Amino acid sequence: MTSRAILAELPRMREYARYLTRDSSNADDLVQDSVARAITALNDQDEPDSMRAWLFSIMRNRHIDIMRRKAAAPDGLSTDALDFEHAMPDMRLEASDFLRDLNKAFGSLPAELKETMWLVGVQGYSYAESATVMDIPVGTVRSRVFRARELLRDQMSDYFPRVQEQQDLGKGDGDD
Amino acid sequence: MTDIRPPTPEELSAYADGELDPQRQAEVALYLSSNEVHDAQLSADAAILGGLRTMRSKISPDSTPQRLLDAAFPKEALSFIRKRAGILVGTVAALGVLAAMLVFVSRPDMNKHDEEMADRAVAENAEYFLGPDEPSIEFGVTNLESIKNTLPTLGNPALNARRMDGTGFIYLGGRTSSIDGAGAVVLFYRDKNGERYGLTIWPDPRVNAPTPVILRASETHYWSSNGHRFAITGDNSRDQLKLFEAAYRAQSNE
Repeated sequence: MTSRAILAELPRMREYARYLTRDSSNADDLVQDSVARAITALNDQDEPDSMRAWLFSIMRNRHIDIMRRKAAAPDGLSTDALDFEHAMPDMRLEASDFLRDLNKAFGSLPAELKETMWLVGVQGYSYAESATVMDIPVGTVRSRVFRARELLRDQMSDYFPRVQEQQDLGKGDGDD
Repeated sequence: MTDIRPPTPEELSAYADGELDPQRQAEVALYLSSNEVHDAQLSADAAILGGLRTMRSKISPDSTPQRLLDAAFPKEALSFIRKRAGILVGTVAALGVLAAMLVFVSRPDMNKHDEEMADRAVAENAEYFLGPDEPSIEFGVTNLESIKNTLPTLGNPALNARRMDGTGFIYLGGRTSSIDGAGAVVLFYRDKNGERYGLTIWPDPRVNAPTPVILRASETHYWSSNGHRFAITGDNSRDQLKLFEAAYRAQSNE
């Protein structure tokens, strides 16, 4: 039953691992390692309420461990690498200036906002699930999503000229 | 207007994700229905979210490497199976006979199950299934007329692309969108197995390629015709997408 539950999550785990590592081979290594740890952990504990959030959380922590270890190695990465970079690599970008600019804007978000937006906005996870994965309060998820949206909207403002007008209008209404 | 407290910007963001408590979610929905001041922002957010989701690289379950499958089913379990192979073979054979009997007896239920699965897939994507002529706020496109003039699909309800009758693909609904500032339509279909397909059509003067262009074939299949670019997306295999494309072409007399 447990193995089946993990099996069902493998595609999404691989997506998340690719997001974290930006390398498909390293991503599968990370998934494999995380699954092994999860199965070992499940020998000593009950199945979690949300298998997906729990697996993601294991994988995320494992990724951070690996990054820290690499950063600590004499010839390792700089600590900047802990702020893992992730734009979205996708060939569909060529189809649209909008997507290309959006990809750039998304890539420029601060790491914590980017990851939160990826989990909530792209993967469609609930705030509660995302909070479990990142081990932060639900309120922090909500606030990060909000800030990410603001920054993305701001950077993509050329595509949405009416937003500022309506916001100004809203402020005017509020003053009345 | 109403007595409802206007949503804060952060509440508006949580509202878009359906993450307010149910009562506040309903209040904000009511507020927005009578107040246009946030329309542009919500449209922009929806466009951004739609764009991010478009860029998402979905991974098909079929592509899972063996080593990950092995990791999910560790060796201890396999060795357990090997040691008890004889007993297991007998048990499996008996279960097989039982299962065959059950399948025979419950066939209508299995069909019902498929239907339920398909309905659930549709329900999970309910936000996409607007009525075929219902304007979408996504990408801020609220005027369908310009789109109808450039795209035949919404302008001509009789077009077979809307229904794909006889092809095994069922039309679910559509929405308007825009790509590079030009109007686009996104039509949704499902096949008899409940698999969902999204067909995006938009005018693209740069398109001249007479043959399909396959990019990331397990996810998106592009082709062009008559100055329009077409893209099918979904968690479908290349063969499934090509099948859909062939059916669409045949019904559209392309």
